[in-house]
Amino acid sequence: MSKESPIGNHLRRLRFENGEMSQEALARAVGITRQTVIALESLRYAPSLELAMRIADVFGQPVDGVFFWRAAQ
Amino acid sequence: MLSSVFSLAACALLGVLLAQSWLPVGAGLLGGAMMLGAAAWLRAHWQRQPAAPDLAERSVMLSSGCTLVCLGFFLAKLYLIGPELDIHARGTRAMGSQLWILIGLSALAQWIARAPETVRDERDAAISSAALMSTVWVLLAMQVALVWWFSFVKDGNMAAMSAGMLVHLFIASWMLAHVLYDLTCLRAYASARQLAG
Repeated sequence: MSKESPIGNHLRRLRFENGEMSQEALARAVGITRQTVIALESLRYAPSLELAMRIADVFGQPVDGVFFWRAAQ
Repeated sequence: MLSSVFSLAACALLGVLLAQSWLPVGAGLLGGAMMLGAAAWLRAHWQRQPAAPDLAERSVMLSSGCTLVCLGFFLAKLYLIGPELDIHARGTRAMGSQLWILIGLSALAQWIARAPETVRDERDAAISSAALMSTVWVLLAMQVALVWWFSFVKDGNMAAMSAGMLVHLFIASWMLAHVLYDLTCLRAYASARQLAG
């Protein structure tokens, strides 16, 4: 669980752009814990496809607008 | 991290102390009352803290503490009873009833300290399944070691133990595996928190 995930994300930026949404608020919106949001943002956890879709839905973005394959960057 | 290690060691030590025969009240009731008190205190403590651990981490913390109390009691009692444990002896029956009281009250303590308003998510499930996988291997290794010890090392080992003691040693290995599972989960949560700063 401690290795860096190959899946990157724009969660921090998107939260900031969406009214400076807190980690707690995002966690509540998608039904996960704040610790999981922290783990996602610090690339310590790769979300399931379902969770990725739920998070993208909260921000009104397609999944690849929130998550990306880091090797491609 | 260090405080968690001390807390868990204290739980195991409490279990060992509960196994002593000089206690004025039954070990089950005394240990159970202490676990219930600790659970009520923890619940109030976590409610006051804004950055309290999540539900899954809390339940693993409580489970490891309670199981260590029970395991400490169980192993110390087995040691005191000795290898010729008789299932139907008074001392063994007393140990069994006190252990069941301890287990019942520890379940109640975990129910009291639960936090129903928080969620258990897929990361908790991932941590749990990784811990379960490593626990299964450790349990298997422990059972192989026990079988090897009983059967192949020094002819006297198996003969010196009653069937009751052999069964209880296997039960102890399952309890130990449960503690290992909890500790593996706690380690994963602690390292994730450390990485997140």
